[in-house]
Amino acid sequence: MSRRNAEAWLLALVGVAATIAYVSVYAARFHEISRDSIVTGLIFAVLFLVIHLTERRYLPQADPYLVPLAALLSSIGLTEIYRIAPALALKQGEWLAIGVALFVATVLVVRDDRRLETYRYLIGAVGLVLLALTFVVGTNVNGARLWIRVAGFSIQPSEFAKLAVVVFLAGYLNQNKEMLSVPTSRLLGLHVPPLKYFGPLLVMWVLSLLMLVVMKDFGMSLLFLTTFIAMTYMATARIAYVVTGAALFVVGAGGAQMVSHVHERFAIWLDPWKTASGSGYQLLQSLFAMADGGVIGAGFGRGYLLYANHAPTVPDLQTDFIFSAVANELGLAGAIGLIVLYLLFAWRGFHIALHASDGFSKLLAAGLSTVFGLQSFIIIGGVTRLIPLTGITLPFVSYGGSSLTANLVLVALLLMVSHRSMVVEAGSVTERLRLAELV
Amino acid sequence: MLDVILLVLKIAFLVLLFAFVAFVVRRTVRDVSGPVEHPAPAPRKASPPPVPAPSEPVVAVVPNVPEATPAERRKRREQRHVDRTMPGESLDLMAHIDPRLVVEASPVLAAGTEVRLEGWIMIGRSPTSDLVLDDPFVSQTHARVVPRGQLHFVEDLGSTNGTFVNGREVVEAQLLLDTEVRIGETIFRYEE
Repeated sequence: MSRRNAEAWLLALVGVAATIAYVSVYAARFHEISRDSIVTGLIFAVLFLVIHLTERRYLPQADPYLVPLAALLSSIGLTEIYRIAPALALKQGEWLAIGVALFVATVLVVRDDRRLETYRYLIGAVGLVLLALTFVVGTNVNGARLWIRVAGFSIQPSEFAKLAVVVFLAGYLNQNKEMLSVPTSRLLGLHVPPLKYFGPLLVMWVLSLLMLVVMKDFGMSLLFLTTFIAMTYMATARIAYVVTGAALFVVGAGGAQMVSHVHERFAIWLDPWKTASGSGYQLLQSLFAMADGGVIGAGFGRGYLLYANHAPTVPDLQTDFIFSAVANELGLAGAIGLIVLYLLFAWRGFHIALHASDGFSKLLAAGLSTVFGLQSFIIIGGVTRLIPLTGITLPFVSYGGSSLTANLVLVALLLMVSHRSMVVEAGSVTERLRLAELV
Repeated sequence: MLDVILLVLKIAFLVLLFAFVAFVVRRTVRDVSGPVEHPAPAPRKASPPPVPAPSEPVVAVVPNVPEATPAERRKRREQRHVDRTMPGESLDLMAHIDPRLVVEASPVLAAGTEVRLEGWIMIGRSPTSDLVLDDPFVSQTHARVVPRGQLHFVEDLGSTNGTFVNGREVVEAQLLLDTEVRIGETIFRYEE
């Protein structure tokens, strides 16, 4: 079975699953199974068919599992959003269409991920400008300054900055990894690599701490820091970076404790009951929602997620807490299934990285997988009270256009790396020629 | 009635979800470790290989591994010694060995033909391969032999009929002294 045919079969399976999910919610709400509900499932399928056909044309050797995984995750997300707030589901559907368009545009414009290496500083600068822009013209929502309003759309630039930073780090580390793995001087009794090469990384660390303090975006700051440590370690294979990075993080987190926003998050994590009717309410409601789900839940559309006045039982249920909604309606089985889907995505991502044909692609694929896996971990860990809760979206599932589109671009980049390595290894002559023309 | 339908739909969704997961896991595991679980298929020797029609001219295929005089070979080996030795390092386990694949039996290559292993060697039916095996049981790009440090590995490149090392189908295997590698109808032995 060729890679694209395998993907087509998996997408068909996801289409069936998505239709089942959507029909269940619709039937639970209106007590009937109408043609409309099935048609909506089909529209979803058409969007992913566009992605599939783009791959057939431009990336025939790319990994066949990532797109079906993304499709399954976003179908679960769309269904739950429709379940919680039908009006938002339509907007999310529009965002999905925009995301698919952006996916196709990325494939058409970039074509070969190695071309990004040339523009690494430019891309890194764009990422930083995006973050700075949020700080300057951003709007405050729930005490954090994360959004920019452009032409009626709320955009969360950090989601795109995340990709830019990974591209920059992959390019920078690939070029300087040898220099970074050889300590030349001593600082406070520690061997350190030359400051000339280490400096930019230090700047990154300071900036992500600034994000934390100034923008109060604890989730993204944690994500940037851990990604940055992970990628440095992958490039240099020196555990010292992990130890130092973790130590610096502890110092940073200790300092951040002084910021009341962060301190509060820690307090809630340690004991949500102390403030059960105040700041701990959201997390406790999330825990109740998950406990209520039991082993296999009540089914799509039948869980207790909305009060009689259509207010969700957990505040921010459709964004940060969507995992609790899935755990409520599909129970432990569905929640584990969802976590396994994220694991599979990261697994495929690292698989692509292992097989990548050059250093930049390898670091890029590994970095993108890291960012994706960590983001899922940070938010799922947060809503289940494994780690302090930090507001961040659950990739593909949460309501939020920036996250959805940015993650589709992430998939496009991973697919390009995968296609490239397969063509180099065993591609047909025409495919090799096509690839050779690009660079 | 609707309750029953919704219950069935819920279970159907969960089953599909885990079927999806199981499929991807199985395929990924196979990609990573190769079909280790399966017993090695019976050697194809048991059924006589298709004999080419006598009227067909037998095309002698010369592997396009560059010919080298002993002097050139020694020079190349010395160069390799320089390439692989880091500054301040003098130990080179490769210095006195000469890794090569020797043809044991083959419908397309003369027995005893030696293929020196220098760099990556692509093996396949495609004329662009480093070692061309014009055998219908060999895929266009069938396998490759790659050096990793001072060891050599054979890697199957998704061939239709598989690469067999000491009778077992492998995706990737290290070549030890006297390892037998079968690709299509050709059997090689690894020597150093």
